[in-house]
Amino acid sequence: MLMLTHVSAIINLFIVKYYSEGVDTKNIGRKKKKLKSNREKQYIPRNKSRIMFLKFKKNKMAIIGLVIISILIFTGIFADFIAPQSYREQNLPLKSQSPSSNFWFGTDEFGRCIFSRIVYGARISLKVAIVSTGISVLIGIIIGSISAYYGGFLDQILVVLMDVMWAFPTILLSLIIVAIIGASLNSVIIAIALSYWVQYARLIRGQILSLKNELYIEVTRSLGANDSTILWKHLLPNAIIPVVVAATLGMGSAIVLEATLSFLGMGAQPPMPSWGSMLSNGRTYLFIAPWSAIFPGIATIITVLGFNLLGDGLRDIMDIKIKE
Amino acid sequence: MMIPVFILCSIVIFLILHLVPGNPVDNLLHPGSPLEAREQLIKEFGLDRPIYQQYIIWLANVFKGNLGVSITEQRTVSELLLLKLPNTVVLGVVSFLISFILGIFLGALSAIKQNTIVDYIGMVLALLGVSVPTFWLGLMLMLIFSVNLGWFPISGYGDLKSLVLPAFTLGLAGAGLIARVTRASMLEIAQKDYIAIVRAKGISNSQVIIKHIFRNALIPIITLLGLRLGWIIGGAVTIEIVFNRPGLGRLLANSLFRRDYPVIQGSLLLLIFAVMVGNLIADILYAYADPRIRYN
Repeated sequence: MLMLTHVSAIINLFIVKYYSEGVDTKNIGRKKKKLKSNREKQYIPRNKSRIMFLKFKKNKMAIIGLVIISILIFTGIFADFIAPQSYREQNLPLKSQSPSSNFWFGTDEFGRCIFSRIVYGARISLKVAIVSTGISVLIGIIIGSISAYYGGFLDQILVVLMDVMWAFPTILLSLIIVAIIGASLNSVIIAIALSYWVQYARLIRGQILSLKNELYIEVTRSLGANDSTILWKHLLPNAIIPVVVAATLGMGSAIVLEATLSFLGMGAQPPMPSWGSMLSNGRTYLFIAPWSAIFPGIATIITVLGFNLLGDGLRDIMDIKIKE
Repeated sequence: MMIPVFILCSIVIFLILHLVPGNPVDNLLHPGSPLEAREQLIKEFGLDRPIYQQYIIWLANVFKGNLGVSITEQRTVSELLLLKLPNTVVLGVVSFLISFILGIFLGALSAIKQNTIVDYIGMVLALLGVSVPTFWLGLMLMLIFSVNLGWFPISGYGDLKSLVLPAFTLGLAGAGLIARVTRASMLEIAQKDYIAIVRAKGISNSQVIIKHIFRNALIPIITLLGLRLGWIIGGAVTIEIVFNRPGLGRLLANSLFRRDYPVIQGSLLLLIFAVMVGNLIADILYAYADPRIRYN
C-alpha cells in the first residue's frame, strides 16, 4: 500500500505535469522541423515577471483561455445588462420555441429565454469555480504543508486520511456529501471543496517535502526563524506555483462537477439558472426542444475549455518540473 | 495496507451516513402513522442501538458476505448488487477498453506526427474530451444517433445495440486524458539519450517507436489505468441515469434519494473495493512493463 501511495502520488504529479501538449522536443516522426530564427533569441529581459509576461504573450492557447475566462467574468458581472430577458420570467404561450431572432437560443418548457438564463448561469458557474476551488486549495495547503513539514506520526495519519479520501471517486464522494447536507447550490460548493482538497494536499506535500531540506531553509532556521515563519514565509511561496496551475485546471473540473450534480437533481434548485439544472430539464424535453439541452452544454464546454487552456498554458510558461 | 484503508473507508461510509439528520424509516411511513409503528421499525432495523454497535454488527456481517436488507425494497442488499453488477461491469469494461485503445492511438499518432495538422486536430479533440461533461456528451450522442438517425435505442439494456451509445459516451470522454498523457510521455521518452543511441545503431524508425519509445512510454499510461477505474465508475453513475440503464450507479443514486442506508453502504463498499483492486492491478502491470520495478 505504501508503494501504492507512492505510485499514485507520482501519477498525480505526472498528470499535473503532462496533462498537456507543448513539450518541445525532438521530432519522433523524424520529419524536418522548422528552426526558430536567431532573431527571436536576442532580447532576454532580466526581470522574472517580464519573462513570464513575454512567454505568456507567445502562448496562444493561454491567451485564448484567458480571453474566454474574461468574457465569462464580464458576462457574470454585467448579466443584468446583457440578458435581454429575466431568467425567471415565465411566458407559457411561448414555451419550447426554437431559436429565433427574439430568442437566440430558443425558449424552455416555461417559455423562459434560454440565452438569458445562460448569461445569468455564468454567475453560478463562476461562483462555484472560485469559491469551491478556493476552499479546497486552502484545506489542501493547510493539511498538505503541515503533514510534510512536521512529518512523523502526524504525517502518517494525514497520509492515511488522504489515501482514504483518494479511494472515493470524486463524483461519488460529492454526491454523498450533497445527499447528506441537502441539495442546494451552497452544499454543492461545499461538496466539491471537500472532494477536491486531497489533490492539492498531495501536491503541496510533495513540494514541501522536496524543499524543506534545501540549504536556504537551513540558513533561515539558523538565523532563528520559527516553524511558522519558515513554513508560511519561505516554504509556501516557493511551493505554490504548481498549486496555482492545478487550481486553474481544478476550476474547470469544479464546473463540470457542479453541472453533473445539478443534472442529477442535487444542485441549484429552480428557478436558479444553473447550466447543469438547465441540462437536466433539457434532457426531459430532448425530443421536442433539443436546444434547451444543446446550448447550456456548449456554454459549459467553452468555459471549462477556457480554464483548461489557461491552466495548460500557465504550466508551460512556469515550466513546472516536479521532482519525483 | 490495503485492508486497513478499506476498513477506514468502511468507517467513513458508515459514519457519514449515520450522522445525517433524518431517519430512513421516516421515508417508509405514511405521514400521520402512529409513533409506535415508527419505533417498531427503528427496532426492526437495529437503528436504536449505539452507533459503534451498529458498525461492528454491520462489519462482521460484511465479512460474512451479508450486507443487510434494503429498507425500501424487500430484498437483501447482496441480491440487489448482484442483480445490477453485470450491467455496470459490462458498461465499465467496454468503455474502459474504448477509452484506452482510442486514447493511446490518438496520443501516439499525435506524438509521431508532432507539430503537424494531425497533431493539432488530435490534441484539440483530446482537450475537448477533457472538458466535456460526460452526461452532455451522452445526451448529444442520443440526440444524433437515436432521435435523428434512429440507429440505436434511446435507452434499455441487455442487447449489444443498447450498449453502444453508453459505452462510447464514457469511452470518448475518457480517451482525452489518456491521449494527452500518451503524447506527452512519448515525447518525453523520445528526448532521452538512449533513444538517440538506439537510432544511431541504425534501427528502423518504426522499430524505435514501437519497441523503445512506446514501451517506455507505457509506464505512466498503465498507472493511469488504475486511476481511471474510479473515474469510469463515477462516470457510470451519470451515464446509467442518462441512458436509463439499470446498474450499480443508478442503484446508488436512487438509494441516496431514498436514504436506503444498507444499499448505499453496500454499493459504496463494492465500488471502493473495485477501485482498490484496480490500483493493485495497475501496480502489478507496472512492474511487468518496467523491469526495474520489483516488489518484495
